[in-house]
Amino acid sequence: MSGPFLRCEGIVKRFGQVVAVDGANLDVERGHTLALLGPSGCGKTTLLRVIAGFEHPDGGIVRLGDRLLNGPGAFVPPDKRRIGMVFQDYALFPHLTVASNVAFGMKGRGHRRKRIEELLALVGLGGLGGRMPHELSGGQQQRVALARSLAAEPELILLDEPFSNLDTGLRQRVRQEVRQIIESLGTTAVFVTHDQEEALSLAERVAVMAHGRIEQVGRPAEVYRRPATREVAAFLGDANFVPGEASGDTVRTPLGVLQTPAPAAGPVEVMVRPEDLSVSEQDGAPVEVVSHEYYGHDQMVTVRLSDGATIKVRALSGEDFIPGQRLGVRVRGSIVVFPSSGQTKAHVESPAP
Amino acid sequence: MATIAIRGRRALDIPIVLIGLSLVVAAAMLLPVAYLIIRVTGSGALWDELTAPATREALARTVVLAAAVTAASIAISVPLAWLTVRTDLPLRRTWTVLFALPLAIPSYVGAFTLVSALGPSGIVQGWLEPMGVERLPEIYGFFGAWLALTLFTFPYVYLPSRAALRSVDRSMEEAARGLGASRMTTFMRVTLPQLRPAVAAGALLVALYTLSDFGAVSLLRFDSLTRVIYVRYTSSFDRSSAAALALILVALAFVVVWIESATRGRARYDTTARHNPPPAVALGAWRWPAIAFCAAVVLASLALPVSVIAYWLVRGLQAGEAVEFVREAGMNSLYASGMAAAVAVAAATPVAILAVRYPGLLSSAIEKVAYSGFALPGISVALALVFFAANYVPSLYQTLALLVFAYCVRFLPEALGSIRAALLRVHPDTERAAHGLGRGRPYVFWRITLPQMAPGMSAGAMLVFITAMKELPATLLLSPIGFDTLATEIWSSTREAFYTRAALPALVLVALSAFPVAFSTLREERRA
Repeated sequence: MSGPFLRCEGIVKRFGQVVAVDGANLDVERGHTLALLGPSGCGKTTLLRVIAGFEHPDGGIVRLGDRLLNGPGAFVPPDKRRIGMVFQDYALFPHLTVASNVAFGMKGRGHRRKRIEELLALVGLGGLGGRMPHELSGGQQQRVALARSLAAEPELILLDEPFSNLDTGLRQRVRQEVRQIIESLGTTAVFVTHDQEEALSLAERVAVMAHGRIEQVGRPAEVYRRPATREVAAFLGDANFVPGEASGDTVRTPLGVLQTPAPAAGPVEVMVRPEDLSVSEQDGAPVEVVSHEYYGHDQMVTVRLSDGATIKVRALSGEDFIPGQRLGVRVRGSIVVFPSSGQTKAHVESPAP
Repeated sequence: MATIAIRGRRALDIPIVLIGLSLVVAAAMLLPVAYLIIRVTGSGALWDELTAPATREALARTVVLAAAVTAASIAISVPLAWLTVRTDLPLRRTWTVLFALPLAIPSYVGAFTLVSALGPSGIVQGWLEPMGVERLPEIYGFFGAWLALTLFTFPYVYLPSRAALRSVDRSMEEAARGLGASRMTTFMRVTLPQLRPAVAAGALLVALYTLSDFGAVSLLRFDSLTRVIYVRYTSSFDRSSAAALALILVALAFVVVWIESATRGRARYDTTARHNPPPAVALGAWRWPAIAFCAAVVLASLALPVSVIAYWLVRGLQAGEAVEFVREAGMNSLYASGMAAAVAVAAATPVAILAVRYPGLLSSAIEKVAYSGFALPGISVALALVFFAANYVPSLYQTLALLVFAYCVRFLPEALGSIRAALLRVHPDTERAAHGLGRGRPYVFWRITLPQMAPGMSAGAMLVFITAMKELPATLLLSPIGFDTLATEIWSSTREAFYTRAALPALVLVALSAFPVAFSTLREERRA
């Protein structure tokens, strides 16, 4: 069989007047982990629910392997899709023990007890099969939910904001554990998140969604370094936007004349990540320090350009900055050029926390 | 100030007045059952009764009736709950109110309407006689009692089932579907088990209502324990046997409570998930049978009793039936129930404060005792108080005070429940802030706590008032001579087949209870 394992083509889903998913296309290779990333309300959870079969799309095709799940005249009900879903609130059955939860979707009668024990051991919950869900911590419940989906031997596993109910410290650990389990089994997985750091660090592929469409799919570094649209750039990490006038291989900006990655002409918008800028006392476009946030491993300095606009620069942790200090800023890394959006001043855009 | 000896992190200074008052309330609640136990165990009547075949038969009849009514209520309520929550049935909110309203019909009013409509020479037979129908199926006995109690208690199961079904989260069912379970399997294995606690809680109320019901079984001539107790009490000189049976009935009620709590299981159903209701199931062609089922339930449990009452009311007015006696009975009902409401709220308040503000072993024990009244059959409480007063406090015998006391024992839990809920919403910081501003305890109670819990107190008073209006056996046994209430008026008129005399008091009682039932159901509807 050739082509992607999961294929979504032109998915449309409306709720009354609201178009939640507006012609989304998404392919996932067998054995890959893909993060579906986007701001809240962008339609990512709806798309996931369409794939799982919980929502009927108003248009489009969903294919898994050689099976058509949604399409003209075709609808496979959720219980026949062989797609496992891990819910944001885990949706553990409160009246069943952990073991019975895991056994719920198991196929075949033989060696049930042994398989349950194996799965629980795999997710690090060996021996806890007799507990009730409410007797477990949030992180443990999360892993029961994962074990329960895996027990049904799904061809594809979907995770809806799987780590959002865990507190920060725990989240880091559970994330890595879940990643290892999914990778060790070679399962294909799609997870939805609004946390860009989670998406970039966890998935082999990242799909960024906005306004009901998939804006870009690629490896994490690719999507971060070479965002296809302004939206993607602004959603993935901090981005400085400065106006520019391009001609051929160069672009004139308040940060100086820069090399463009590809030839361009006319008014453009230039995106520079804070870590691709540096400030020093020697040279560069003159700026004044406005404020700085110290993170320990590095710091973020906000500086004002001569035209009054502010941008952000990431600096090493050893340097000292004083508000009012006059410095020069230089671009030391790569830039991305977008067609002008009509913004005339430089500004910073950060993803919503 | 009594300082309970937990010094250090959490010193609890419980005002001694609060402990004192709560202990008095608890002692009063314990009095009827304690007295029954003392009286019965001293006489050897308990053993005689337990071994008598007549007792065992009455016990068996009572248990079978309670089981049959409970089973039928569940069988009606769960499908109705599903239809009104999870499908596209038209007018779901209207149906919900209609299914709740039978709660406003006391069992003896329901029984009165059944007897006069379906009994020998009743309304329906009057219509059918010209067509040659000589007699209808027997309404007296098990069938009638079962029918009446089921029709007028099923909302106790319907309302909690409906509420539970509404709170079942979509993701739980979707998880089951994603794991390969069909729609039907999902309902049976995931949805239904989550309704179980709600259904069981409702079933408990139905079973307790049936065990303690006296009105319906006596009018429909079914010899369950309450009716046997009443007959023994009114007809024999040795009242020990009635007392022994009353104690057996109490024990039966506590067995039912125990069964419910023992089957509750380890599961916990509170969900932290934001509520996400599943989409409605399209009934399609099943819409019409569904509507027919709903309509049949409303017809039997609401339309029939209301129209029978209206029928006899019109007949009575045409025949010039006196309205005067109803006014007197109505005033008596108002007076006794109003007193009960005031006393019950006054008694419940210290217990509620103790339970909410000073949690601990003592306060939870007092609270449990205070709640025990809801399991006590009215006839047992009434008999115990009759014997107690006759033997120890003759001056109380056949006084209004004793009747009000019996009402309070029975209905204190209703007042306690709503006061407790109101108090839980009063933030203790508001009291602490007032103390911090230099005010003493009594001042803070009057100016800060009491005003905030007042709505709960008036709601509790309302509940007690309405239930006391409807209470029959305690009123029959304890009311002073010549003190007729609406409830006793309906009962005695129906027993003598003066249906026109029963109609007006029945209408007043039903109308009075219907408003709060409809109001609270609608409010519950809007909340979600």
